[in-house]
Amino acid sequence: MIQLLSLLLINRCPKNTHIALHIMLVLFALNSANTLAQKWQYQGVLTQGISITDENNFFGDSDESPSFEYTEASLSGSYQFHRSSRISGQALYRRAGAIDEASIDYLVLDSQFFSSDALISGIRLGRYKQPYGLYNETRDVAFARQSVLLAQSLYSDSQRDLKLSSDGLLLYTSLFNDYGQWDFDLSYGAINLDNVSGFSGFPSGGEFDNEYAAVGRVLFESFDSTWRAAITILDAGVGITFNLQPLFGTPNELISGGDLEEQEVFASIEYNWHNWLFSSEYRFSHTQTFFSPVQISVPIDITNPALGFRTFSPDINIDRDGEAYYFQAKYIFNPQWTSYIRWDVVYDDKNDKNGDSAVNAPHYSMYAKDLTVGTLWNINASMLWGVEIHHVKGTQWLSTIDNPAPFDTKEDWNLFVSTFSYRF
Amino acid sequence: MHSARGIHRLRYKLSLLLLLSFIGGLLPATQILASNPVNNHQSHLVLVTHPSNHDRNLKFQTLRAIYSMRMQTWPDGDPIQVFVLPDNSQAHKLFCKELLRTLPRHLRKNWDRLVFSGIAQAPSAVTSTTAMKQKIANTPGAIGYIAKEDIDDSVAIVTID
Repeated sequence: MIQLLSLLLINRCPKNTHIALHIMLVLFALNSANTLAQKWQYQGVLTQGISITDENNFFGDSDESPSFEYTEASLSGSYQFHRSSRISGQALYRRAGAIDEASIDYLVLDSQFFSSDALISGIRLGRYKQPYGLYNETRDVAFARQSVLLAQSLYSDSQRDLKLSSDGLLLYTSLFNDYGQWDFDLSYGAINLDNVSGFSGFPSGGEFDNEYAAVGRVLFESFDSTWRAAITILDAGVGITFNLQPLFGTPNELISGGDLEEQEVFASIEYNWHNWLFSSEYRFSHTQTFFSPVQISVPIDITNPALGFRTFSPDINIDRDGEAYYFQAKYIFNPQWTSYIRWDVVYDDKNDKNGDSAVNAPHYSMYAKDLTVGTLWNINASMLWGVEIHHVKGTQWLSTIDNPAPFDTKEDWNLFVSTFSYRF
Repeated sequence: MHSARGIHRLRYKLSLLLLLSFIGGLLPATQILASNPVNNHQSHLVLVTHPSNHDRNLKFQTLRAIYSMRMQTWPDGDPIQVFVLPDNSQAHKLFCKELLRTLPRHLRKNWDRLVFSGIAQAPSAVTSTTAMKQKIANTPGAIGYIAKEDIDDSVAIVTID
């Protein structure tokens, strides 16, 4: 690869051929002096999807006609520059309905500071993927997903940014004992949030501040891969200031910003039994939302402004215990074909499952119950095709950017998603 | 918005697609019944390393740590180079079953997960046992597997507790 790059350099700069030649020679020398036969690796994935809904929009205007607004393109690479240190990163382009962005998905310096015959410890510095549940780290790679879309209750695409990645540090330890492999991850960093428009729910846009996430996870995998299980604990918070502060409007629009704090306990399990793969994850979350309202001043007496003004400051603090879980059974016909069925549920408030306390949105926006069936076909090692049908009650994980008017959404809806992926 | 008839038509189409996808999934199921993962003439598979490597006896856990791609260095500090045959090769299936006690698809899934999340690098793939032996003989810190009858001085046998 390095040689190829150098050759390219020569072709590109005919006038500086001897400089390029020098660079090439140095690179060759470095390459041969290094005992690592393979130190540079890269790979990429392209995914194109189609979504069709009978009501509501998912990944674009899927209601009126099929939407093709689901594209993922990623290029990742890693460079082992020292025997126990490596740099790895991924550039990601992602279009999912109204969200259309390119980003550095992760970029870390990974250094192993301890390695014995059954214990490895190290540190990752930079932008790391949150060690959250079983699938977050590879959520944008179709080949590593267990279905076309991950269970939206726990891996919601409309609120993905909050759990995706952070800039900070992660300490890891892998322990290999008689039972299997144990991975311990502990991370602390600033959540990687670009802007509010990338975070569903705030169409007017704004800015984030004081965002942080502390995540700890213990993951176990038996050596025969019969069992995989994980416990994740998360403590995260973010402050939001909106760009638009209209004077008149519904109560929500009068909010200038706020703070969100969330604590979660997340349990995950995967069990392989003959040709079956059963998986289930459960999350309990405690969310505190403190809104900072716009101060509203109105005359005490409208006929006599000289009497002065009084100020409103509607106090909206919401404290909720949320709950989400899914059960999935997957049948592996052979290495190429798998089919699955999943029951996936989320409640914003487990003490108000009907969503009666919904603010400025229909009650069914506070829950979603989704029955999914799907099939994945690994056409060959580099091509994957998947198809999935959802029958959903509730709109909890529906994107508010694709569905800007909450009361225009329907409680009962069906979603068909199919994706084709290619990797190299 | 759709008319009621339109919705029914869409629902009908969705159900039909679902049915087709399941039938599509069922068809190849008949193929696996005929496949036999273990090929007897290659059942004498041995783990080998570069002759300069002094770690000739590994604990099972250490072998798993190496093939999990998490362990990057031998106890003496030299970098580990992991070699594998393609997932569908008989020798690799046998290696997974007898030495690692798992299945190729589990191993692959884990490697994919690690590679795409930047946590580890993938093992180096070789296309044949001949190429495997050559690579191991020429790469310090290499580890791989070959048939017992192919052993010679160019590689060193690794035993597992």
